[in-house]
Amino acid sequence: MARIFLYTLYTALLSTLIACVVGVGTAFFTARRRFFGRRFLLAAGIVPLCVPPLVIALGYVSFFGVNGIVSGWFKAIANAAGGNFTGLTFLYTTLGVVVAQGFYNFPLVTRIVNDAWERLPPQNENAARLLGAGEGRIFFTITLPRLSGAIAAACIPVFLFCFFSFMIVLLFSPPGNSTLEVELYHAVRTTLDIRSGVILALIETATAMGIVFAYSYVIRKNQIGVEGLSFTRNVRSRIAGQPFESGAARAIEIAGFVLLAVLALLFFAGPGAAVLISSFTIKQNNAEVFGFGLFRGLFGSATFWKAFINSLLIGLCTSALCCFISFVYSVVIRMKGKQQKVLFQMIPVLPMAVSSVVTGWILSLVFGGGNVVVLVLCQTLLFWPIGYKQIQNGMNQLTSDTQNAAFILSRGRLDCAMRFYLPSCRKVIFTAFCYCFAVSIGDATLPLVLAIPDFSTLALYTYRLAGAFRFNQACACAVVMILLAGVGFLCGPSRASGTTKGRMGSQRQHLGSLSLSKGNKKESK
Amino acid sequence: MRKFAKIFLLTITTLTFLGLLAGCSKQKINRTDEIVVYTYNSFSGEWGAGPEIARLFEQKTGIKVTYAEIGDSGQILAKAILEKKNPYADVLVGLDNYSADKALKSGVITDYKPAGADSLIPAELSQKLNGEGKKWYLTPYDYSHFAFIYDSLSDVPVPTCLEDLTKSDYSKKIIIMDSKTSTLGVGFEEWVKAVYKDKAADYMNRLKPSILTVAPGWSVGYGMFTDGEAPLCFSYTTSPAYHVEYDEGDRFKAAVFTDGHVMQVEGAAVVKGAPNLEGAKKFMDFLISDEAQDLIPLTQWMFPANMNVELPASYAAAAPVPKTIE
Repeated sequence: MARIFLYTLYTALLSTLIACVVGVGTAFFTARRRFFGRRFLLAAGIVPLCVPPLVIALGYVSFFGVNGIVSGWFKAIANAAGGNFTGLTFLYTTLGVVVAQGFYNFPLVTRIVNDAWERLPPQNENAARLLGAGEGRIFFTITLPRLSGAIAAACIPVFLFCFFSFMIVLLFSPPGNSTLEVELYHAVRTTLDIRSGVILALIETATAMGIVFAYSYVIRKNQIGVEGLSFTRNVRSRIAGQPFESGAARAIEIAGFVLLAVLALLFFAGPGAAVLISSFTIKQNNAEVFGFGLFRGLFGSATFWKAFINSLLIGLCTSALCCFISFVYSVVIRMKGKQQKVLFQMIPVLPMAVSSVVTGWILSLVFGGGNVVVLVLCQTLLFWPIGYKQIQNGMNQLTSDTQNAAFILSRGRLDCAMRFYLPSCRKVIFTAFCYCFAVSIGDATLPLVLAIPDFSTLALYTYRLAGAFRFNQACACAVVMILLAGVGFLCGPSRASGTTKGRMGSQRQHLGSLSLSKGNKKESK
Repeated sequence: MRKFAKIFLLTITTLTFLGLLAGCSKQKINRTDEIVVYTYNSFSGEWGAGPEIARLFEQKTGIKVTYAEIGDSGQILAKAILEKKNPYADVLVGLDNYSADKALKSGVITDYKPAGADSLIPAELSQKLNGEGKKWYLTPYDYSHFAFIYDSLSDVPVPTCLEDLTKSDYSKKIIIMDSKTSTLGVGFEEWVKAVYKDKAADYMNRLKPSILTVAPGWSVGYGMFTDGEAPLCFSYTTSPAYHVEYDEGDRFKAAVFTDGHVMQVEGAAVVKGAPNLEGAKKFMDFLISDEAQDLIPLTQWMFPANMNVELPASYAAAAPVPKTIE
């Protein structure tokens, strides 16, 4: 048990480190520079949320496997040189586990850190530059501390994802290795060894909660906006295009960009492209044909459409409930002034420390079985922290002056919530809705554990396709899932990349509407 | 505004409460025109025998079949044990000879021998599930031997016994399945135990350098094998028939080992206290009938238990029947 625990922890920590380093490095370029593929990279942040890990794992096999695309390149080079190359096997080692998990999750880190980085007003950095500080010093002493909250907010879900990992570890780890989640799954679903199951669940949950507690402690100070008015705009320049950069800084920037681009292309885009290509490849009589046949087959299947509708409805219900709970919780703790207390920061993150297997198991014991209502409740319980983080980030932009003014000008707490907080945060509420929707779409574990009769979701359907020797169809279904999950992000209001002034302006507008109404009420009397 | 908020909150609370109640309901179920079958995805999924069997059964008897995909053999049994006091399912499909002992001792299944079973099912199959001379609880519906499938186009030598696999020729060349997540994983461990007895753990240690990956399930592992990741994969002797049937040639062949092979027999059983006992019994009768068993070879890719079924030509071309060991 100790060996399994240490192995799980070791792979999770290493994977998170990779995701963090690559993710933060990439976020620098997406937040402060413009380059081809920037928007695509940010959009790719939803992939870890909504694509079942098994499909991703098989994508890595297609790209980096013994008979994968990269092995093919090496074989061709070796053959041309008169040698022999038997194929890459690094994927089937702990290195493979860590690389797959780390790179599969880095876009999520990039996206979350980018959102925060874009919002950082550059005054402090500019002031440091004026005073003669080098770019490196500025980054480590000014930027990084201010981003620490966002970095932690991004790394926690990545760590927990890797800690609770199932498929990727099973497939790529050397024989004889296992994770806590696999052992737990086996104990509660097959052997019915409840005692072991409880011990494993406790160890798993306690470790995850320990990490979560550390996170809450770190971010508790960043819960209130302290920025005043700012008239500077966040302008993105070309790579190494800032006028104040020294030659050395420019060289480092270009080298960093090239390195990150190569890593991202090889270890994220490559397997992703393998999945995409597989979704357009039909295997017929030992030959491969490219076309939309698999999609046509999917769209012609009644089972697919049932799964699609179920996913859509469950996703909408779960997201709505998640946003409702997140918003109410956020507003209530803010009104009571408790947002900097560690306990209140921990509560919304605790559900993330409990794995889907544990939640599904406990709830099916309590309810004696699964049905759609239980599934929605389970998903809401587990995923509302994701929505909360977004709403929390939005509310953190509201300065205490603005909030105090809102309290004074509103008729009561509910009025303040409905007419100040709600409009101020509508963009982040929509983003929160989109994130929760994406995660709900991508969740195959809860429907699998609850085993609802005659019921399927897209995630479960994809998982079953992959598990039924139909990998290409699974890839096609995964593409449909990404599109469905991404629709909200594409159609939503443009993300907050505007000026701090603009945000302050909109806050004043809301305050204005409150005072006007109060004024009207007086007049009507 | 306050009144509206109160009504809104009250509605949400009521709906949640009703939802919880709906989830919690534990009344005794009474079914007459429907049966619920707990099974695994390969049977009840689009590509398994389940959907067509359900359709034909409904046509014949008017009883609707609802499949609940619980997981593999062990998971199906575990769920039935959890529901022992108030069973939801009528039939369990997918209990194999490795979980038969546990199933018989659990008390969740009731004895029922489908009509004509003695003349349709070989005694050997029933004995593997129910034991010799014992009451008939589990009805076999398909079976196959486990074997390593090899890629005849690769340059690794064809293994002739389990011991061969530990040689350096096979370093990182075999794919097997995890026993915690796949019945094939359990099957492999049983095979090793049957051949090596108390030296099984030692063999598994010596085999480690040869293993490329321990796949979570058969399909993932076999898919990687056919994609060329490794030249050997643990599967059934009947797997090559799939490739022959779909004109993919005879590249993938089963290696017959001198050690002998172990068999997996899959069975179905009626749940004790089933809500629709009569419907369950009719389903069992239908499951071993010629009509249902005809579907097995080309959907389950295992041998049908019913001796009357004519096998497709692809089976003759690709499925050797090896020596069985216990």
